[in-house]
Amino acid sequence: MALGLRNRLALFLVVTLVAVQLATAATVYGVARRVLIREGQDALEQSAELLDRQLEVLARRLAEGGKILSLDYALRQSIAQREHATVLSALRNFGRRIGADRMLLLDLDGGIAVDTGRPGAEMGGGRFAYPDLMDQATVEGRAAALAVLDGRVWRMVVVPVLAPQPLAFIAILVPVDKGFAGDLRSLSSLSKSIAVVAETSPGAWSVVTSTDTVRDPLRDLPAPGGMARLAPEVRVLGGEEMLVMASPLRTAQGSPAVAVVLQYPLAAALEPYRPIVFWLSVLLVGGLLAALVGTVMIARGVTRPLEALARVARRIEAGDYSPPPPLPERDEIGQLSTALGSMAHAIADREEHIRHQATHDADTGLANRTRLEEVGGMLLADPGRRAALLLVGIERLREINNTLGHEVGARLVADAGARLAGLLGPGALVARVADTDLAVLLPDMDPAAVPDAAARIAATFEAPYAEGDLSVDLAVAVGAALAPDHGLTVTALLQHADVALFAARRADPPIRLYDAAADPRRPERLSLMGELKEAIEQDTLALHYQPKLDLATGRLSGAEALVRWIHPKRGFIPPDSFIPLAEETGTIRRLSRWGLGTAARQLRAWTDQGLALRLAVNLSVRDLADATLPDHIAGLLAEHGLTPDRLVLEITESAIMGEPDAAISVLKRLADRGLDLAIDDFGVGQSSFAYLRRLPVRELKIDKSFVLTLASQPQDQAIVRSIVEVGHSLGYSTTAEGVEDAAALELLRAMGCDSAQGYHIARPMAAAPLAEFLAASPWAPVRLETGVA
Amino acid sequence: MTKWPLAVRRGLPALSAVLLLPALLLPGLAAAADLQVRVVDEGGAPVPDAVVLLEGVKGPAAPKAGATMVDQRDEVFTPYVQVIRAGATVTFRNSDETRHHVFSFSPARPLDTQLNPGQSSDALPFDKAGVVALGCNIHDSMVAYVYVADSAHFAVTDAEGRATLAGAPDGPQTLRVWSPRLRPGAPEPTQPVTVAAGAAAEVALKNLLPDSRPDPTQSRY
Repeated sequence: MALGLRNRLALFLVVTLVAVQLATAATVYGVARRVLIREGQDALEQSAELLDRQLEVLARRLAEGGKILSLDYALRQSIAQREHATVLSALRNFGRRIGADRMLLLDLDGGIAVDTGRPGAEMGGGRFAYPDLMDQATVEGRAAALAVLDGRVWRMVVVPVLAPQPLAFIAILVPVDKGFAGDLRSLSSLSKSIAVVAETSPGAWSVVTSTDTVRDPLRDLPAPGGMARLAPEVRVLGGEEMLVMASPLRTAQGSPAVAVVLQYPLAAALEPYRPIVFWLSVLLVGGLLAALVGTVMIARGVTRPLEALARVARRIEAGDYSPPPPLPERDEIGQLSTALGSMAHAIADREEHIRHQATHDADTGLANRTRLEEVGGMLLADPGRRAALLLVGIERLREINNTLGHEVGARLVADAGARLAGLLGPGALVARVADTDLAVLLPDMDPAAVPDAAARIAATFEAPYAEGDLSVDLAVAVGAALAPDHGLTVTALLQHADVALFAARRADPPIRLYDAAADPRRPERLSLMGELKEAIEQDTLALHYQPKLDLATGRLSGAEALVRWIHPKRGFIPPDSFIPLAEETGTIRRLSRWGLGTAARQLRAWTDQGLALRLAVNLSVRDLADATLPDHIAGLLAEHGLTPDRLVLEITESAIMGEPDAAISVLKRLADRGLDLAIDDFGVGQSSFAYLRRLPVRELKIDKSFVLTLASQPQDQAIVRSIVEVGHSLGYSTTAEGVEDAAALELLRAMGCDSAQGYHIARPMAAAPLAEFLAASPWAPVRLETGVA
Repeated sequence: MTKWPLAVRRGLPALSAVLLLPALLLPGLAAAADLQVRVVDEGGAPVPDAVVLLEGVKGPAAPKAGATMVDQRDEVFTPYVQVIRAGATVTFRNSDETRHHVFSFSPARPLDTQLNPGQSSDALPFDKAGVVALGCNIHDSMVAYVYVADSAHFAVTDAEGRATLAGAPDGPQTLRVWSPRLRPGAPEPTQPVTVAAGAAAEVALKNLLPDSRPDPTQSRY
C-alpha cells in the first residue's frame, strides 16, 4: 500500500533528522574520541616522564638522607674502625628514620659488610650485585636505580661514606610495593592506573604492584629483554577501552628488567562527554518530536485541503457540479480548489450542453426521443399513473422538404412544436420522435379526455404555417396510446401510438386511439405467420368461392377465390388478421402460389364437370415483384390443361398505385399470356383512369362501399353509373361487389354493369357446397360447349 | 663515564704508561739525575696534585722534613695534597675564625684534633707510609691529603701535571703515582722508568674520578 503524503513526509524528516543527528553524534564522538586518545596519549607520555622524574625525586630524597647519614662522624668512625655492630644499629636506626626497609654497608670492593635486611646474617657475606652503582656513587656522590634483589624489586640508592675519601658505601633499599604505587597515584597528574612489573623470573613479567584500577597489565607486553618504551595504544581490556603504555624503568646494571604499565581508561575519560551525549539524545528526541508534530501539522495543512479537493473531485465524478466550498488557503492548493471549481462549472456547462444535444432535436430544438423516454420513463415508473402519448404526424412534410427545403421543413416542425406546447401547457412534453412525427406526452390524462385533446390538436393545425410570403397548409393525423392501458413503457406507447397514427392517416377525422385488436404488429401475429407457413405447407388452408353473376346473361359466369384458414386451436381466423401481416412479412407470396395452385386444381375440376366458370384469384402487390410469376402461372395452366382466359388476377386499386415499373411489366407479361387483370376495390383509391390506361386491365371491380347502399343512396348510384359508363367507354368490363339485395342487383343491371357479386347472389363457399349451389341455383352456371368438353 | 667490566678492570694494572726514554748518551759515572714526570689522564689532560715517587729509593732525608704545615684557611686545607717522608711531622694550623676539627680515619695515621681559631697543633709525627685523608668534622667540604712516602724521591705535580724528581739515582726505577682522583681501593699505579740525565716520563692515569674538591661557589650536597 502506498504511503500517504503525511507519512512520507514524516518518514523523510525522521530519517533525515536521525541521520543528521547520528552523523553529528558520530562526528562528535569520533572527534572527542580522537581528542581523548590524543590527550590520553599525552597524559600517558607525561605520566611516564613524570614517573621517571618522580623516581628521581624520591631517589634524591633518599640519597640526601643517605648522604647525611654517611657524613655522621660517629658512623664514619665506626665504619673506619670496622665496628660493624655499631654500624648495623646505626643503619637500622637511620633506616627507620627515613623509611628504608633495608640498608647495606658495602666495602669499597663490593663486599657486603652489613645488611639490615637479613636477620641472622646481618654481618654480611656475599657481594653487592650492582657494583656499577658504587662506581656511579663514587663519581656522582650518589647512585639510584631500581633493582631486583632477593626476588624483590627495590628502589635503591647508593651513597659513598667519605672520610673524606670513600671508606665504604651505604645502600638504602625501599621496596616497590603497594605503598609505592599509592605514592605514585597520589601525584595528581599521574595516571591513576599504574602497574609495576618486573622480570622476577627470567624472561617473564610478573606484577610487582599495581593500583586497583589496572586491568590485566601483563597482556601484550613484549618480552623483558631489551624492551623499548611502548607508545600508547588503544586496547580493549576487560571489556573497557584503555590506552595502554608500557615504559621500561631504569634499573641497575645487571638487574632484571622492571617496567611500568600505565593505563588510561577511555571510558572514564569520555565521562565528561556523557552530558553531551545525553543532551544530544535529548536534542534528537526533542527534534524528532518537533519534526513529527511539525510534519503532521504541515502535512495536514496539505493533505486536509487535498482530501477536501479529492472529495470535491469525487463529487464532480458523481455528477454534482455545485461549486466546492472555498478553501482558505491562498497557496497552490487554493488555486487548485479554484481551478477545480471552475472545472466543475465548465463540466456542468458542457454536460448541460451535451445533455441538451442528447435530449433535443438539432434541427428544431425540440425534445427528442431520448428526452421523451427519459421523462416518460420517470413518469411511468410510478405504477398506476395515467398518461397519454399522442403521436402527431405532419402530413406532406416530405413533400414540403423536397419543395421548399429542409430548413423550412425544420422551422415548420419547430412551429408545430411551439403550437403544441402553447396548446397543452407546461405539463405536456412535446418531442420530435421522427422526421414527420411529434410526440406529445400528457401526464395524468383521463382516457375520456383523450379524444378531445386529439381534436384540439388537430384543430390547432388548421391555421397554415406562415413564413414571410410563404404560407403552407398543414394537415396532421393523431394517433394516441394510453398508459397503463396500452403500454407501460414509452417505447410501447410510441409503437402503439404509431399504429394508431397509421390508422388515423386513413381515417376521417384523422384521429385514432390505439386498438389492440387492429394492431398488425401485435406479437402474437408473428407467431401466426409461422403457423400460416405451416398451414400452407400442410395444405390445411382452404379456398372458398363466391360466385359471380353475369348480369347480361343471368348466368353464373365465375367465382372469386377467397382463402379460409381454420386454425386447429383458434378456429376461424379472418383474412384481415393475417393477410396484411403476410403481406408485410412476405409470406403472401407463398400464400398466393398456394392459392393459384388450388385455384388451378378447382378450374380443372370444374372443367371436368363441364363448367366453364372463370376463377378470380387475388394477388398481392408483393407478388408483382416476383418476375417468375408469369411463368409459374403459365406452368400451372399448362399442367392442368387450362386456357388462360379461365383465370382472372385481381389487384387492389391502392396496391398498384405508385408501384414501380417492374410490377407493371409483370402485369403486362401476365396479360400477354392471355390472363385477364381486374382492379379490385375500385373507387376508393386515388387511381385515375389516365393511370389505369397504362395497365393491361380488363375489368374494374367497383368497391362494395358504393354498392352496399346503392339502392338508397342516389350519390352511390351516380358514382357506380359513372364508373360503369366510363369503364365501358374505356373498354373495361365492370363488376359490382357487395350486392346484398335485389334492388341493387336490378339497378346494376339497369346501369349496364357487367357482373355482380355479393351475398344476394351467394356467399363464399367451399367447393362442395358450391357444387350443390350451382346445381340448385336459379342462375345457371355457364357450361362448356359440349364440343370442346 | 666509561664503565669497565669489573673483571677486566680488576685484572689489569691501572697504569698504562707511555714511556719516553731519551737515551743516556754518556755511560759515565754520574750517579744522579733529575727525572721530569708528567701525569695526565686518559684524555691527555694534566693531572695536578698527583704524588709521584720512586719506589723504595732510600736516600738522604728530605730537606723539608720536620717543617711540614697544613694550614686551614677559609675552610680549606692548604695544601690540598702534600707528600712527606715517613717519620716526618706535620703541624696543623687554624687560620680561620671558626673552630676546626681535623680528623683522619686512615690507617696510616688516624687523627682527631680540634683546633680553636688561630690555634696550631703540635708537630705531629707521621711514621707510617700511606695516604692520610684529612677531613674536618665541622666542615664536610674540607678535604686534604698527606701522602706518607717510604721513598726519598717524591714530588707533587703542579697545575700542568708536571713534577721533577730531583737527584734521583740513575738507572731503572719504579715510578709510583697517586692521586686523590684514583678510585677508592684502587692500587697505586707504578711504572718502570730509567733515570738518566734529561730523562722524562709521562704517566697516564686511567679511570680517574673527577676532582672532588669543592667549587667554592657551590655546595655539592
